Amino acid sequence: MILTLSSSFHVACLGLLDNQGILIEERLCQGFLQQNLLNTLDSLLKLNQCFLTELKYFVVDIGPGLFTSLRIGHAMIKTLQYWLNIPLIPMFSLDLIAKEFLPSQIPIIIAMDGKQSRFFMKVFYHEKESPIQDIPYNKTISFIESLGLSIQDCLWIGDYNPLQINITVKKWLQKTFPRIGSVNIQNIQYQALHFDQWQTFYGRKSIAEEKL
Amino acid sequence: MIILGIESSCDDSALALVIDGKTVLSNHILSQSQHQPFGGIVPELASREHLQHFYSLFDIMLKETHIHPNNIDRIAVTYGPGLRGSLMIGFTIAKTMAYLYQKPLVKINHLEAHFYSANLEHQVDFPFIGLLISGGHTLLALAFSWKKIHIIGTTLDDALGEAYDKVASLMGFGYPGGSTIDQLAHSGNPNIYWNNIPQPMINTKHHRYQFSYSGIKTAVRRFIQKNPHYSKPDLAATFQTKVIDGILKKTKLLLKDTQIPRLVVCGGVACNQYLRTQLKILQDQGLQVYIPSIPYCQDNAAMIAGLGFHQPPESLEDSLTVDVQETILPFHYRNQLAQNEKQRLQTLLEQS
Repeated sequence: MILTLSSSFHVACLGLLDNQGILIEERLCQGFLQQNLLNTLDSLLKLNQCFLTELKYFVVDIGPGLFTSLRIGHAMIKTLQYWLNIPLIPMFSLDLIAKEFLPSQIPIIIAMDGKQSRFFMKVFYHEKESPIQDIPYNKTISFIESLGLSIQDCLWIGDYNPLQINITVKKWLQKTFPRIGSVNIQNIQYQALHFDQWQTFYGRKSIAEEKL
Repeated sequence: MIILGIESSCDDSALALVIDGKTVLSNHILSQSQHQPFGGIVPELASREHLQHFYSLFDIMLKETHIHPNNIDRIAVTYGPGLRGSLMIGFTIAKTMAYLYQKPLVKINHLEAHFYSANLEHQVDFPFIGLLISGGHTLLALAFSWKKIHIIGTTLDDALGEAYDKVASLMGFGYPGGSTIDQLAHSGNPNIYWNNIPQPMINTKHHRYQFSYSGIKTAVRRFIQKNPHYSKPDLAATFQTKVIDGILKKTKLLLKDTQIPRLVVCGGVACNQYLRTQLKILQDQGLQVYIPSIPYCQDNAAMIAGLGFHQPPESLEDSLTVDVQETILPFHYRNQLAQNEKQRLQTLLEQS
């Protein structure tokens, strides 16, 4: 049994998987994560008649993303991991979004609003992938061109809150982003079942790798 | 009863194990030094560090006491006031442990816990007047029991510790600079600049038990701008004498108005040597004064665990959904406190 948690987006996702796939998943509003997270975990376990001690490992989204939600999720998972000594698999949020669209013939650009007119961005192209970039909005096009790609040839996928960015950038985004992706439990399931280079971490060294 | 205390309201991550609210088995604090370049606490950095520190603290606690959470009877945790991001880390850890080991969770008010820190080493009787002075809070309280502590006066703007740090910064010292001002003041003469620096909130007619420190900060800044070749020890001595004498004046007023012969002084500024000397004088005059030792003056988890013994726990269902409360004294409440101070105090005394 695997417990998965993604809390870097405006809607957090908590789920239970087994080798056959998803058993159950629950979505939570980011603003009420502190109140609802443990309650939801308790409900999921009870519905599946599962105990915490039966969990084989945790799969956790470590960002980049909303840092308060991430920390609430991480505090819960790290505490469970510390006392139960269960391995933890960290995943980057941008990779989770991308897995829904990969493999792809055309280059895929995953962008997330990093606030203060910046993006967290990662590009998947020709079976390669760029490292996660933290760049200003106005530098994104030149960054993509520096990889030898043309914007028109790429599929843009974003997870951002359009209400929190200024009008100029919003117009630019509306023109540039053909679709908005969001993370869901299927991505995490895909990663958990197909990721062939699992790295397990114990204790405090695990999601301290978080880089926002 | 063994109680685990978790404290993360500001920049100190703290864990403690206390038996029956008195015997401290383990008490460890990890402070954060990376705020120094910013001249104050950066909430984002503080919460990030808490997430790493607590698991090191668990390691230390387990090595020291060999007490597993299975053998703990309760988990006490700070729910506010404090920095929301920081509070949530400690609170989530406590809630998760309470859920994992099916232990009762006790929500502790950080301000009330500070008063309890004096009870860890002494036997504090009721009722008492409490004076809490730290970097985040400055308040006078009237306590009838550990469950009935009423705030009588508070600061209308900045806390005293905050004013100390700001003045230290204006004088060119690093953050936190409160202890530097205290040390420097020993060698200074408070009378040299006596007329240049005002005593804060000296008017006791309208704000009998309230404090304010934004004015004295501005006065020090203007003084330094006008007199660039000032003597640092003398200015430190003047500032310290003005604020400590001012705070003691209002505390004495409350002691006199209530006829209560007991005073508990706590918080980070209670480490101040000049304040301790002045309190010793009051003690010699017959007042019962309780001051925690230096380690218990700062934020610590022993006071949280200690108070957790006296307060009722949440039910197991409620402990899953409770949330932190970063502001317990909203601004409008502070203004309400300043109105009808005497009448309110009289009502409280009659009710008790």
